This record gives sequence, structure tokens and C-alpha cells, in this order.
Amino acid sequence: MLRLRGVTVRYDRGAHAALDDVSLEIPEGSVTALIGPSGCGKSTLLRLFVALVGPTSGAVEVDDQPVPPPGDERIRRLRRRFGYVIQEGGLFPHLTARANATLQSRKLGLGSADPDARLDELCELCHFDRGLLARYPGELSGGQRQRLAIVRALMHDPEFLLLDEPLGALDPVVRAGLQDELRALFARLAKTVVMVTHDLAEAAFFSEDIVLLRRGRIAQRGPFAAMRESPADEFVEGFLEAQSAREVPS
Amino acid sequence: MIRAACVAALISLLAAPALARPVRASSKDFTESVILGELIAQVLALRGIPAEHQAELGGSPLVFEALRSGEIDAYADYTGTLTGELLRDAAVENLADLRAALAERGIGMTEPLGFNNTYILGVPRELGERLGLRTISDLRGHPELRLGFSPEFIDRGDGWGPLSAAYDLPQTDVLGVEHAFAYEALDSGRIDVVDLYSTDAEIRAYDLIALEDDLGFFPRYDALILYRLDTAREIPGFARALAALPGRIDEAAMIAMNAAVRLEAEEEAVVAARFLESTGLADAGAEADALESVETRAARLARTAREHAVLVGVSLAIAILVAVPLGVLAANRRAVGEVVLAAVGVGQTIPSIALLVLLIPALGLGAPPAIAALALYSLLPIVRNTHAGLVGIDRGMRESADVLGLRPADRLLSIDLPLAMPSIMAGIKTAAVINVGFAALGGFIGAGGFGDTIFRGIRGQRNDLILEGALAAAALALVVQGAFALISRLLIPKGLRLRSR
Repeated sequence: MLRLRGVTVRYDRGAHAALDDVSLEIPEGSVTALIGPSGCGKSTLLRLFVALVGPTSGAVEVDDQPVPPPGDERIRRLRRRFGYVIQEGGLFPHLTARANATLQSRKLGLGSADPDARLDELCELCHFDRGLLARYPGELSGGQRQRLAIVRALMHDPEFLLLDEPLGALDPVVRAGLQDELRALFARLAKTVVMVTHDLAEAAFFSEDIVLLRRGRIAQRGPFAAMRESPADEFVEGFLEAQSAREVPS
Repeated sequence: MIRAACVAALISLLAAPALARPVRASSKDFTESVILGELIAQVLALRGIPAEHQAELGGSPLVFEALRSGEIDAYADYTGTLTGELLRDAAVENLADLRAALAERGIGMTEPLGFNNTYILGVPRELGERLGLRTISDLRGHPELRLGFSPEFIDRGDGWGPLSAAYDLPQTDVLGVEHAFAYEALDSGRIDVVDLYSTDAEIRAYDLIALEDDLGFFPRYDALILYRLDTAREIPGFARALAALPGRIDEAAMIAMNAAVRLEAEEEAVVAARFLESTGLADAGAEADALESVETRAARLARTAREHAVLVGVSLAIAILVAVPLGVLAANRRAVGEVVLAAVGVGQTIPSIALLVLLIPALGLGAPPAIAALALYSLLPIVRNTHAGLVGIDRGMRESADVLGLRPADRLLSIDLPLAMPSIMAGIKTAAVINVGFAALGGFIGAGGFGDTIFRGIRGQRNDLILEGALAAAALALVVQGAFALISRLLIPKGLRLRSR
């Protein structure tokens, strides 16, 4: 279980807080979507769990254990329990697709006893063409890169999968295809998944548990239907309207 | 029996270091001194004492200090230089005093060689006749004259300062000009008056008037050989061999030898051998042998290229081993980084010549101080580019690496350094190309390489040598550039050379 207790995050002594006294629990095995306008703190929230940022005040916990502050030696051990995917994939351009995927297991001896078999299995699962494993990220398309990033994040069989706008850089067709695949994947994996997105439809597609953030605070949490039925305030209402207006009118 | 053998072995071991190394004759950085250095080395060799000549070590103080510290064993100097400059603090009235003062410093001296090479002030004949200049006192009436003196003369205790005071001279426009360039500067009309040596061959060749020292300011500059008393004790026959030269070289002979080198572009070794042959000290054929052993241009190029490549390669290797870790440190600790970058920046600003000479006491002469100086100059581009390359890794990439939870060493070697490699290689390439140029300055301190050829060309007014060294250095720089294009292909990961789709 991932938990925040009254967490505030301020960057560089800035006046406004990226997160402002947020408390949140994400239960094991769930898929949770973090959503909100730019600068609402959704990425910051995700980054707290792997100590890419530390809380200015409050507590961040993973399975009831506090997350060590950034720079702490113990953080490495904790991070190995996570898979983490960012918008552009975060693939290392100097390594082939295969080396990218297996770097962590090679260096740390994590995951399955047979990394090659594991890699084959994940390529299958994520629809990543194994023929592309010898290529460099620069030789892959955007969709192929994101698939590979997810393969890499799953190689060591993490307990938690964190995705920060994983489909954000893709064109709509590729994106729609990958959405379907990802949802099926999450269902099969039964891991704790937290996904950041700015797209409400995407959030609703993936998750029954949507956390809508506004200026560092949680504006509303719940399934999409509940939000639409009874928005907590004008902001939520406005956000839902703005997002549905973007959809192609039927 | 066995004990006797052991003792004999021990004795031979103890004696070995003294016998194993050849005696090192040396010289200052002007033609006459180099000829005298050759004469010393050749006369020792004639008496069966292996000797080499480390030519053109530097100015008087540097060479004298090298003798005192045991860096070299013998060289020729002048009485006036010793009393007026090097032993300024000792009260020296005559040769006996001088001998005693030198002995206190572990240095012996021969009798005078036979010529007095005094300082004179020279003016072009046309100018001198127009202004009616015959004596140094005559300069008093012409404050507008531009003076060009060697830096050593400007500073010496028997040089320009005391001279102008003694003669009450009004000129203030004094330019520092190395002796090797003085005649050309005079010829081109940039300066009017230069300091010359009375045995210079050019005085006649350039048709100059030597102004008479009418107040008798300059002392006598009788040439003689200085040597280490330790060496004379260790090597039987050493002092006796040197004693063959005193009294044999008169002024005309010295001027003739200088002329052969300066005006006829002959090698010092050949000129010295011809002189020894003519005096009967060497057998007939010595000159021919010397000519035989003069290096061909191809052989010299091969040697200097090898020496130059060693200077550049070794210094670069040292710099890489030091600078890359420093750059990594600087990138990881911001506070340390600022200090490191500032420090290597300051190191870069030390004038190269000053640095070379400053390193001599610690590292001796020749290649080691040159390599140290070059390594120091190479630090800045490599440290800075390593730092910039690491700091410039974009945030997404850095955090993706963070989240893998790798050990710091794995992280550095597998991710950070490969990503920074294009920048690091660019820094190393910059350092290497700069190094090829800087290494030529090694010629100043006997480090060899193309600088050796260039400085010989400057001193001997031989443009072909200057050109040879300069073109070879430029060619090497191009080769280094090309080599780095190849090395980069090997070291910069292929994925980084692809343009992202």
C-alpha cells in the first residue's frame, strides 16, 4: 500500500506548494489515475514514492514503512520494488532495446532466474516485436519506445508500477491501440498501478479510482460516474465540462 | 674466494652508476655557447670519457643552477658573467678569488680559453655615421634612440640598469629582444641600438659600428669551462681532458666558428670537430666523422615526431586519468565542483614558459616537466567537458536512471559516462590538439619534439628549420584530429550518434 500523510512539497522555497497537505491511500492491487490540469501536483505526487522528490513536511509510506529522503543510501533498495515509466519512455539512447530492458536485472541480479525467457514473455505481453531488440531507441517509433519502456519497467517484476503520462507523446491512433493493450495488461498483472494523465477519458478508461488534483490539493476522488453525478465543487464541474467538450461530438 | 668475489661485485655495483652514465656537457641558448658545449663534449670523448651535449638549456642563471645541482657536469661561461651576475654577492677581485668562490659551490673552473667576449652596444653604420656615434657616451645626446636589448642584459647586474647609470644615458624606450632576433630587428629598422657579443660574426656581416666602452664599464668576459668538482673526482682524467682547451681559442677563431654556424648554417658539432682537427687535438677525419653523424632531415623528423608524440600522448593520458574523475566529482558535488573548475581554470592561466621553468626544480630538465605542464594545461578542457556532459544529461534520463536503483559505480559506468561521452571526447580532443601546439614550447627546456627543431632554427636564423618544426606540428595536429574522429566512433555509443526519430 502507498500512503501520504499530510504531505506538503515546496520547490526551491517557492511561494506556492506543489502539494499542499495531501493525505492519500492507494490500496494494493488497484489501478489509480492521477489527473488534473498542468501544475496541479500530480507528477510530484507520483515522484514522492520513489524519492525523486522529498516531502517538505508530512510522511510518505510504502507498506507502512517511511520512504527515505532523496540521497539516502536505503533508497536504492526501495526503488527496486517499483517500475517507473515516463512520457518519453526514459530509454537510454546509448543502449539497445535489449540492453535497456535487461540493464537493471543484469546489474542487480533482480527478477527471474532466466532474464531472456522473461524478456520474451514480456515482449509477447506488451506486443513489442522481438525482432526490434537489437535496435537503439533512436531507431524505434514512439509507440515501440513506450512498449519497450513498459517491458523494462516490468523486467524485475516490481510490486508497484508508476506511469507518468505514459501515452502522452503518442499520436491518437497509436495511443488508442496502446490504451486497450495496457488495460488488458494491468488486469493480467494485478499489480498496484498508479498512472498520471491529463486526459479524463483515459483516466476513466483505466481506473475506477480517479484522483483529481487542483493546485496541490485533492479536489475529488472516486469513479468517473460519481464525479459526473455529483461534482464536489465548481472546479470539478468545470474540469469535467472542459474535458468532455474536447471529445468529438457524437 | 667467495668473499673476494662478493667484494668485487659490490665494488663494481657501487662504481657502476658513476661510470654508466655519460658526462653531460651543456650550453646556454646562444650559438657560441652551443659550439663551446660541443667542444667540451668532443674533447672529453677524444680522451675516452663518454659524453653527451644537452644543448641550449636556457639563460645563464638556469644553466649555472643546473651545474650546481648536478643536472649537468660542465659548460662554458664568462668571467664577467660570473662576477657581475651569478656570483654578484661574492667579493671577487681576480681569478684566484673566483676559483675559491666557485669551489665553495662545488664547482671547478679551467684556465681562460683564450678570448674575451664582452658586451658591446652596436648601431647600424649608416645611422652611427649620420649621428656621429663612436662611443657609448655619444648616446647621451640622442634620447630618441630606440634600444633593443636581450631580456638577460636588461636585468643583469652588469647590464642596462648599471650601464645607463654609469653613462647617465637618457633613453627610456627599451624593448626586450632575444639575442637571436637582435640583428634582424636592427636590420628591419625597428630598433636603433642592440647589445651584442664582441665575438658575434654578424657585426661584420651586417656592417655595424661597435660603440666603444669609453668609461670602461664592462668587465672582461674571458670564456672558461665550469665543471662539477664531484665529477672531476669520480672520473679520472676528466679535469685533464678539459684542460686541453684553455689557451687554444683566440677571438678570431671564435668569431670564425660563430660565423660558420650563424652565416653558413653549418652544424655546431661539425664546426667544433673541424676546430679540434685544426688544433691537432683530434685526428684528421674528425670533421668528416662529425658530418657523417649529422642527422638527416628524415631522421630528425622521425626522432622529433616520436618525441613530440610521447610528450602529447603521455601528458594527455595523465590528464585524462586525473581530469575525468575530477569532472565526475565536480558534477556530483556542486560546491566541490565550483572549487575544482575554478582551480583548473587558474592552472590554465599560468604562462606556459613560467610554468615550465617553475617545474624544473621539482622534475629536472627535459621531458618530465614538459609533460607535467602539458598535463596541467589539458585538465581544464577535459574537466569542464566531463562536468558539462554529466550535468547536461536531461532530467527524464537522470530520473529514469535513479529509479533503477543501481549501485553508484554501475550507474556511472553504464549510464552517465556513456551519455556524457560525446562531450568528454570533445574535451579530450580539444586538449590533444592544443597540446600538439604547446608541446613545441618543450624545446625551451630540452624536452625534444618539434620545438627542438623550431628553437634551433630561431637561434641559428634558419627558416628552413623553423618551417620544418612548425609544419610538422601542424601536420601532427591534423593527424590527431583525424585519429579522434576514429576513436570517437569507437567510444561514443552508436545509439548516441543516431538522430532520434
